[in-house]
Amino acid sequence: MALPAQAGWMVVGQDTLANYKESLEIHEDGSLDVTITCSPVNGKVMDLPLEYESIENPKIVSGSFVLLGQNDNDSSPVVEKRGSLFIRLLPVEVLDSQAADSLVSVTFNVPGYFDWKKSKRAYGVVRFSKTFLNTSDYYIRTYELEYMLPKGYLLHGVLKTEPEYNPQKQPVPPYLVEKLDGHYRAALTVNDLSAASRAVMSVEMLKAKRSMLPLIIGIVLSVLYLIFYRDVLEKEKD
Amino acid sequence: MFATSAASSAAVLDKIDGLLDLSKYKLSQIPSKYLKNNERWMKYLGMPIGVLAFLSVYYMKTPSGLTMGGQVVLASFALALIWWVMEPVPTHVTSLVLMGLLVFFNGWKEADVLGVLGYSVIWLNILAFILSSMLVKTNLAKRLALKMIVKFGHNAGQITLAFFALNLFLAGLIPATAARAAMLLPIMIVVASIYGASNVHPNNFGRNLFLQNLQAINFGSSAYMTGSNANLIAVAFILSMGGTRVYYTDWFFAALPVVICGMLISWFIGRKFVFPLKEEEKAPVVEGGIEKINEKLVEMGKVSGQEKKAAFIFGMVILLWITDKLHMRMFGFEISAVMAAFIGAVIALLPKVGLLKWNEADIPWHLMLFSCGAYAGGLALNDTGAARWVVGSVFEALNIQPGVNFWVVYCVVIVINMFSHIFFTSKTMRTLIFIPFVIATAQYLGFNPLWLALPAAFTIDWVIALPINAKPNVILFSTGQYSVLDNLKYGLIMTTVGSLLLIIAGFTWFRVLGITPGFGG
Repeated sequence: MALPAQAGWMVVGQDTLANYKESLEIHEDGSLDVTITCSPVNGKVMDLPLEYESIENPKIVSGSFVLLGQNDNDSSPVVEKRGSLFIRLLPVEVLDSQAADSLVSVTFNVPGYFDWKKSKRAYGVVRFSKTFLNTSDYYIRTYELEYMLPKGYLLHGVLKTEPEYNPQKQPVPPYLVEKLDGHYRAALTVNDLSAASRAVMSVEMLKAKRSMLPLIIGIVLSVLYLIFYRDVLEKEKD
Repeated sequence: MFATSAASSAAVLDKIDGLLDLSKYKLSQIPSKYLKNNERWMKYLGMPIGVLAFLSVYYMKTPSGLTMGGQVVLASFALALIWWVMEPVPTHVTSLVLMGLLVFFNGWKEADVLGVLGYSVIWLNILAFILSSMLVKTNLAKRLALKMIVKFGHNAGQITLAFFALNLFLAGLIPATAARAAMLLPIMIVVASIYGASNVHPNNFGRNLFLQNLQAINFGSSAYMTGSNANLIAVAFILSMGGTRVYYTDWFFAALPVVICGMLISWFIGRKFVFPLKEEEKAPVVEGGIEKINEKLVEMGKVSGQEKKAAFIFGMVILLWITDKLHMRMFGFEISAVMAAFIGAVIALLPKVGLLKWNEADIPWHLMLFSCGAYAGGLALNDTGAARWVVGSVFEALNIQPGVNFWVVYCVVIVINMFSHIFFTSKTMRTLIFIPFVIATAQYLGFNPLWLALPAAFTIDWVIALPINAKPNVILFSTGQYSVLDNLKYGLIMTTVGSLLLIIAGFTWFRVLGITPGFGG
């Protein structure tokens, strides 16, 4: 009888990916530029989980692999297994062992991944969320989910992550927020992601341009206060 | 002649009655305060300075590592901190403004902001005030206070020293600081009134009494590993991240001398320099002094049935507070400090069985709103990661690199940890953020984490600078016996004293105990 997979459980004989990073560059039209970078499993066909219904312009950026059907314009590298989609990478024989061990990186575009307008909420905040479900056969030691926000947008906050952050148990949050090359970036790191376990990060972003209204209201209120509350300075009579 | 003396004696007893009439000093009513010249200017300029602080932080370029939500919270908290200190509007109104800013600028969700009113800390405050009202109504507080004055109250110095000793003793028994504050509050009010201090006419005796008690309740907890939940969290971090187990006695023998020195220094400088006592404030404002107060105590007669009932109810609550670790074994579940007070308050309010009618419960709701704002701000700082970002930035700005002298790092860590409490509203949050940073810094620099983390943990309970910094501070602030500025002035002086004490202890006592690197190390 097969045991159900649980987070952190590794099945004997299962291939392990030391690192798996999924970087999503978000665009204002709701499309994404996705880059998946992971440790290679040398000499074997690699099927990487794909949670996007349609992708465009897939290409290998680095690593000793080629995409399935790369030389055949009509065929797609996307395959379906057990009801899930994967992008299939085929190994290329290389003589240099260093090259064989280098990280494999694949990029593609996802047009219309989400409806930007519909994701808009109060205060002009846009909510974005992505779930990574490890449908692959690999045990992932370190998984990283990175969002690069469109230029001119700020990260308003990280709403939710899975696994959930518990400050009582973890001294440091599992996500990082920073500014990199003019983009605001949020990156979630999850360790020991076994088959069927997932990682989620939900963020809110908003336009970097701030309204001048608070400035005007602040100045007006301050001036009015200084005028109408001058009596505060007068000595109280007993 | 005899008739004149009898009349004068009766007049003195009447005066004591007047002083002890606590219905005049209702905590739920805010008395108007006389402001000094500098306080009037602070009040006047506080509003634009606070607004300026908000706008400066809000419009600054969002730095790397900080979210926009965090920036909004930082801006709102900066405004509130300035307004709480300078008081252009009453402190509870500032809290409401802070909560409004958090919601309107999308710093924290409306439901979260409004939900703070239901937090256990607010409940504990409300229940503590109900129990305190019961002690006042039944005259038990008056009797205990008079007894304390008769025994130790011959002069102002003795009575405040007695409170320090009492607090140090209670801290070992009752970890909940708010509970200790609630317990001592009515006694303090009676003692203060005997020395002529009230919310209507605050004097330096009252300032010393209440602020020294505030300090003793808070940093008194630092003597014991179990003195507060935050201490235990720090110990857990030192074990899990630093790999060293800290035992109860390790903590106790290291921290106790620091706490005792802190209390004695506070007792000395408070009366002499911070709020110097005038001659008339050094003794009870009652002609005939202690003898007359003793007469009043005798006149109160035997302990009444109502007092016994109040003592029973309050005693039961205290027993539940003290035995918290045994509850699992006794009941199969744990009764928290809040629920213990809850049981006491319900019994106190029960018709026929209890002692108090709802109208007699003196609950300062403005203080509850003040607390809500402070907690909402503090929690939002934590939730948005803004507090962590500020702490990280401070450590980053210091640019401490391997090879640096240990004692330089030690002094920096103590001073930063100690003074950081001014910007926090919860010890637990401060511990969760700071202690891991300190341990990570020690590991990065190649020091034993214990050398820095345990002394840093001794700073956790020094939350004494502002009424927002801890629960007992809010409870004692409700008495109106001192201003935010008084609190800040004495608090900053004692924070400096505490830092120096821990630095001196690091060089000497902690070395002997092996907490900091030894003389050969």
